[in-house]
Amino acid sequence: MTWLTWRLHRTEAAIGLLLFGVLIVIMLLAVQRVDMAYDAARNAGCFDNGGSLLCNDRMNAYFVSSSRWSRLTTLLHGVPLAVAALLAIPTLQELERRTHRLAWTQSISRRRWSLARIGFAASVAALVAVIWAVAATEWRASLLRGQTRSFNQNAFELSPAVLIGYGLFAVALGLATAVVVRRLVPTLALLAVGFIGTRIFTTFFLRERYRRPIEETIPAGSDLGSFTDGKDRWTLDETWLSRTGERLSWEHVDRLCLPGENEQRVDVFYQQCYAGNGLHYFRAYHPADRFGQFQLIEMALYLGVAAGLFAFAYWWLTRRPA
Amino acid sequence: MTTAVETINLGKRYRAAWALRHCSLALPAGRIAALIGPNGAGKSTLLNLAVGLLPPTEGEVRVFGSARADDPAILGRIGFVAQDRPLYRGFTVTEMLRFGAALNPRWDDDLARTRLGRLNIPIGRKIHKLSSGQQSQVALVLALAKRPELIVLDEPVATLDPLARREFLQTLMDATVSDGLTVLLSSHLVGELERVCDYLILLNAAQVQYAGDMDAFAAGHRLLVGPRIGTEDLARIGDVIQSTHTDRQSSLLVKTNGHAYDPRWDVRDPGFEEIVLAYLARRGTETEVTR
Repeated sequence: MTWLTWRLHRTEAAIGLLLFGVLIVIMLLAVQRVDMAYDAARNAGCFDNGGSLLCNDRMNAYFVSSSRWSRLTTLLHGVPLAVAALLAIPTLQELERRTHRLAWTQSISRRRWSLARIGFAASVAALVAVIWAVAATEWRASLLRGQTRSFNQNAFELSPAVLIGYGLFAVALGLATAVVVRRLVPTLALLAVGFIGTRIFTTFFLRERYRRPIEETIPAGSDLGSFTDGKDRWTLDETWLSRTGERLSWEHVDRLCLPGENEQRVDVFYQQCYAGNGLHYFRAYHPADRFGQFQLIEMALYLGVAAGLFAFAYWWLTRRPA
Repeated sequence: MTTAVETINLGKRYRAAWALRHCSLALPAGRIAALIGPNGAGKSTLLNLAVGLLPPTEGEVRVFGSARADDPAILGRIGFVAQDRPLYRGFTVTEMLRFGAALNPRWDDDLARTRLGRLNIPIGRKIHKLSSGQQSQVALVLALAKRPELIVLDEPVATLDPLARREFLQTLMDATVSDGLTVLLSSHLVGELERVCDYLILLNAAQVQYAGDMDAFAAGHRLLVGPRIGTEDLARIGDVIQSTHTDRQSSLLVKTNGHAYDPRWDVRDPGFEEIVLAYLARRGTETEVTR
């Protein structure tokens, strides 16, 4: 069974290793280049004071290099999808060419056949996901410098924990779709739509709901210093509220407090005007220290769905007619 | 005598249509059975039910007494060649043998290699580079090397040219002589099967029309030719399989029932193919064919 499983997957394995290898080499090259430019700028002390001609050059070189390679980041989100497609293809070919009917009439139960197939896909998916998580972490450290614990979409979604979740989910989705649809092109199309759709849904709808955001209402005039700190905080909502708690549009607030042309201290004017009108500042956010927790929640969600999809594929293969 | 395959009121429905219904038959072990019927009669459905690829909608199918046709212990005793004879196209013949050896504990590699050698099939070649006839032979050898007690073949010769067909049936016959196999073989080609089979199952419009000895089948029918008769007279003659009428003459294909026939009938022995075609023309209910 081991030999057979390997024999059926070896072409895709070779293609996958080749593509993955090329990608990793490109990534390492990029990381090296960007790190070199960064180090050159830092060693010249450009991040501390700068301003010199040398620093202008070095900072410029760093930004150019970083922004050039950063374009690859979008592509990297597609890696789990490629792995899933490559792992689904042998099973699709088997079902499309109906050779599964040959296998299922040998002296082996359909349960064992299905377990071998799904077990192989899941193990390879887990292995590749771990390797990928390491590679992506390297990438993030160089190309998304300073954002390693940021809720910024790219940084969050290229973190090790969620990457393992995405990797297994993609493979499970590919396999489950394959056993039901049994056609190469429609399966790959559905896999792409399903994976990208789920990710978009997670990014723009689900993630902010993992926990109730912290809500704060601060009366105008009190210390607003804490608003400017914590760049890694994930702000979901911020607005001015009226005395009665109604949300006010910026236009409304601007009409309410319009400094005269001769106003000496504009900031003081605003503070007094806002306080005088009884305005409150409202904000809802996830603090930066929820990063690890959100990573684990998202990984658990994806792993849970992946387990469900693997179980479904097994059930479908063993229960449905050949 | 033991029974290799037994079906009890077996039925299979695909959505609204029954592909097979009320199918009850018992195939004794050691026989070579032809499953004959037109396309769409339910032959493939019956065979797929027998090897556990399809679950029945109603009734049951027992192979060597077990109703669990997808049990590996039972599957190991069945060799199956599906209609499209699926093989891994990218595998070499040697790799196909390795596949067989890996998945079958009773695998006989010598037998496989000897048979392939005798057929001059290049075992280093990839499956998709073999001719259609050679692919069929490989599929058959794979099934035989399992050392099965029952071999089930779904339209094995339908796509082969006459020469390849002959070679294929020869390989099969060699195997049955030496191994004492039970064979269940479907086809819509009637002539070939009369030569090689000793048991007959006729299937038409999802129903079994006949199941029993091939010899008894051939011997058990008569063709009566005589003056034109009316419907009432026809009804009085029992077991009419098919009746054809011209203005003056009627000819009836009947099952022999031991009764003497009216002397006005000219009694003849019909050919095997003629009887089969008469059964298949019935389409479930008796129809009158007018020339």
